[in-house]
Amino acid sequence: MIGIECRALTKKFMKGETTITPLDSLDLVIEPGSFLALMGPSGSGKTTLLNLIAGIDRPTSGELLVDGLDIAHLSRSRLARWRAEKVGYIFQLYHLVPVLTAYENVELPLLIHPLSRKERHARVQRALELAGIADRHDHYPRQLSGGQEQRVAIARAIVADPPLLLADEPTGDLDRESSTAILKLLRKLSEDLGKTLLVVTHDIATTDYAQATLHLEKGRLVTEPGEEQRHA
Amino acid sequence: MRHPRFVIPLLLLTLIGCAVEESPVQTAAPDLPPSLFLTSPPANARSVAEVKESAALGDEVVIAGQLVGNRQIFVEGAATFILGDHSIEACHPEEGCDTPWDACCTPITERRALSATIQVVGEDGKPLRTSLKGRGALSELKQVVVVGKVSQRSEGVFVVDASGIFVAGGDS
Amino acid sequence: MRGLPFDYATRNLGRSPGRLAGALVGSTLVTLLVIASASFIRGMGASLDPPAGNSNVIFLGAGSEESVERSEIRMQAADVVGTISGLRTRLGQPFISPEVHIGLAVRTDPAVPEGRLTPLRGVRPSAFLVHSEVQITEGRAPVAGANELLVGGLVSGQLGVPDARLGLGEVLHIDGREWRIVGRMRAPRTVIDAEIWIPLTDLQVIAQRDNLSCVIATLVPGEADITDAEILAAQRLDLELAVMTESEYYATLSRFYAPVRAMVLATALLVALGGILGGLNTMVAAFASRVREVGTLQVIGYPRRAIILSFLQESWIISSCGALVAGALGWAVLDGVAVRFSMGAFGLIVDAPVLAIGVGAGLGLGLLGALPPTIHCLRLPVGQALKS
Repeated sequence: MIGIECRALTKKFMKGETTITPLDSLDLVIEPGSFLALMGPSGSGKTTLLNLIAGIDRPTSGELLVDGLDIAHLSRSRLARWRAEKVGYIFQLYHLVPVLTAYENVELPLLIHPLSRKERHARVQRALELAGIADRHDHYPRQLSGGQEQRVAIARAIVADPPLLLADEPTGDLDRESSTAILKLLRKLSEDLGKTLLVVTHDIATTDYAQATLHLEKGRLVTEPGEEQRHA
Repeated sequence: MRHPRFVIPLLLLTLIGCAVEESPVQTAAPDLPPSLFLTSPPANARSVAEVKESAALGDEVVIAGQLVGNRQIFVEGAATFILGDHSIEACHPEEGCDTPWDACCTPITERRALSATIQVVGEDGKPLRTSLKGRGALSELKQVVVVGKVSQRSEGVFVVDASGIFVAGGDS
Repeated sequence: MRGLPFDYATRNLGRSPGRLAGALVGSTLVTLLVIASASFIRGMGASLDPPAGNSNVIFLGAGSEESVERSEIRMQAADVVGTISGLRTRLGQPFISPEVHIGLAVRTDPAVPEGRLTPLRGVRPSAFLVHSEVQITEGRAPVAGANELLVGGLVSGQLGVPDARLGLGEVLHIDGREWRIVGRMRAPRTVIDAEIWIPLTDLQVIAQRDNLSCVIATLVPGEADITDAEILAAQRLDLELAVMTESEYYATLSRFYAPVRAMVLATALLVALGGILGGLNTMVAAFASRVREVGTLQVIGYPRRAIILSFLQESWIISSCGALVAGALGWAVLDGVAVRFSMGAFGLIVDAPVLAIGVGAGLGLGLLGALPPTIHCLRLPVGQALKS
C-alpha cells in the first residue's frame, strides 16, 4: 500500500502572458489503501494533481512524496521506471492500443518487467478475470463496447500489481449502467487488493463508492466544516 | 545474368576504379657522360632548320635550337628530347595552349619539320635509360647548342646522338 | 528493462494500408534510383578501365591524345611500331593492331532516314591478339571485301533493337550498303562491347580515309616498356605520334567523363534527399496520429528509447522491404542494360557492391526518415500528448 503527501504543492504555467495556477499551495495527505474521489469544476486542478502524482508532470514548487519518495526530482527515465512499478493509470477514453488485442493490451505493462511468458500469461489472465473481461481477451478494441474497453484498461492498470491506481474520469464516457459496473469494480479492487485509489470525476455517483471525496476549486482544497485535510 | 560476387570492395574503389600499373623494365639508371654538359657554347653552331637541310647521316654537327615545339619535350625515362628551331614561336599565355612550349599555334607538321631528335646513347647505340630533364639545367624553352653525330636521317626523321650539350643560362 | 514487442511495430504498419503502400513504393523507388545511379557509375567506370594485366601501348596522332576518334596517323606507323624490340609475338605474328575508330550512323531498317550513331572499329585479325578480352561467342571474324560485320554484346541496346535482331545472318545498313552479321563478340565491361568491328580496309573505304586512328601494340613486360615506345615516337617526328599506355588512355577518358559521373552522383544524392524528405513527411503524418498513444505508453512506464526503437523498427521494416524489392528488381532488370552515351554504350552493373550501396542507402533513409518525426513526437510533454 502506498501513501501520498503534498506540501504546499503548486503548479503554474504560462498561457500567453497570463500565469495560470491550476494548483496553489495544496496540502494533502492520502493514507495508504484509501479510495478517494476528487471532484471539482473544470479547471479546478483535478487532472493536474493526478498527473503530478503519476509523475507525468512536475510541480512548480512544493513537495510531493509518494510512498515517502520525492518524485518531483526523479529523472525522466527513473520516473518511467517508477511509474512502471508503482502506478496504474486509467484514462477517460481508455487509450487502448488499437492494433493489439485485449490480451496484448493488458500484457503491455508486463513486457517492461523481466517475467517469463508463463508468468505474464498468468498475470494477464488474472487481471482480465478481475476486470471481468476475460471472455473478450482476443478482441481488438474496435470490437469492444466502451464499458468493455474500460474494463480492459483497468486490467491493464492492475496487471503489474501497482500499489497506486489513478483514474481520470473513468466513467466519463460511459452510460449509467456501465459506469456503475466500473465503479463497483474499482471499489472491489480497492477493498480486495488494498490499492490506494484516486479517482478524478464529475460523476456524483462515484462518491457513493469512494471512502471519501475531495473538492478542488481554483487549485485549492475546499474543506467542509469540521473536515480535516487528512483523508481516509 | 551475372551473379553477384560476394567480395565487397570499397565504394571508393567502385567510383575511382583502379588502373593496373605496367611493370617497369628493371634497368638501373645509368650515369650520363661526365663531359656531356658544356660550359661554353661551341663555335660554328647552325640552326635546326639549316642542319636538317644540309647534314647527312654520320655527319658531325653543331646544332643550335630551343626546347620547344612538342607537348612532351623530354622522354620520361630516356636521354632523349626534341629540339626545335628558333623560328618556332612559343605560345603566349593568352593563346590558351596546354603548355607554352607545345607551340600549339604553329601547325604540327611545320613544327615537326623544324625539329630534331636529340639523344644521348650508350655503348649499345640506344638512348640511355635516364631522363635529361633537369640535368645540366635542361628544361623546356631553354636555348641549347648540341654537338653530336647524325645517327638517323631519312624523310622527316633526324636524330642526333649528342656528345656535348651547352645550355644557355645554365649553371653546369 | 525490455522494449515494446516487435509485433507492435509490425501491426502498426497495417493501420493505414494506403500510407503503408505509399511508403513502400517510395522506399522501393528511392532505393532503385540509388541502385540505378550506382550501377551507372560502376558500369561507366568499368567500361573505362582497361582489362587487368594490360600491357598495351597506344600510338595516336599527336594532339589527339584525348580522343582516338579524332586521331589520324599514317598507315606507315604500324610498320614503324613493329621495329620496337620487346613486342609480344605469337607464331611470329607481332601483337600490333592498326585500327580505325569512327562513329557512323547504323540503320537496322533501310526505310528509316536516320540511323543511330554507333562506334565502328576497323581492324585486322591481329586485333584479336591485342584485345585478348574479346571473345567471339558466335560465328567468326569478318573477312575483308565481303561486307561482313562482328557485333558486340551491347550493340542491340545501342541500336534500340532486340538482341535477336542482331543474330548471325542479319543485315545492318551502313553508308547505304548492306552488311551481314557473321559474328557476335563479348568483351564485358569494356567499350568494345558496344562496338561493331569491321575489316580495316572496308572501314577505310566507307570513311574515305587512307590513314589510321591508332596503332595498339602489346609489350612483353620486362623486355619493353612505355619508354621504348616514347623513344620511337620522339625519333619518328615525321609520323607525329603521341604514345601512352592503354591504361593512361582510359584514365584520360575517365577524367573526361568525371563530370558526367559527378552529375549522376549529385542526382542520386538529390533523389536520396527527396526520399528523406518524402519519408519524413510520411512518418510525421503516421506518428502524429499516434501522439496520444505515445503518451499512454510513457504513462504505462515505457522509456522513450523503447518507443523510439519501436518506431524505428516500423520504418526499417518498410525500408527493408522496399530495399529488398528494389534490390531484386535492380538485379533482375537493370544488370547488363545498355546505356548509350557519347562514345558508344556501356552496360549497367548491378553487383554485390552496387546492391550493398543501394540497400544500405534505402535502410539509411529509413533511419533518417523516421528519427526526426519520432523525436518530434516524443518531445511533447506526456500530459499534453494524452490530451491531443
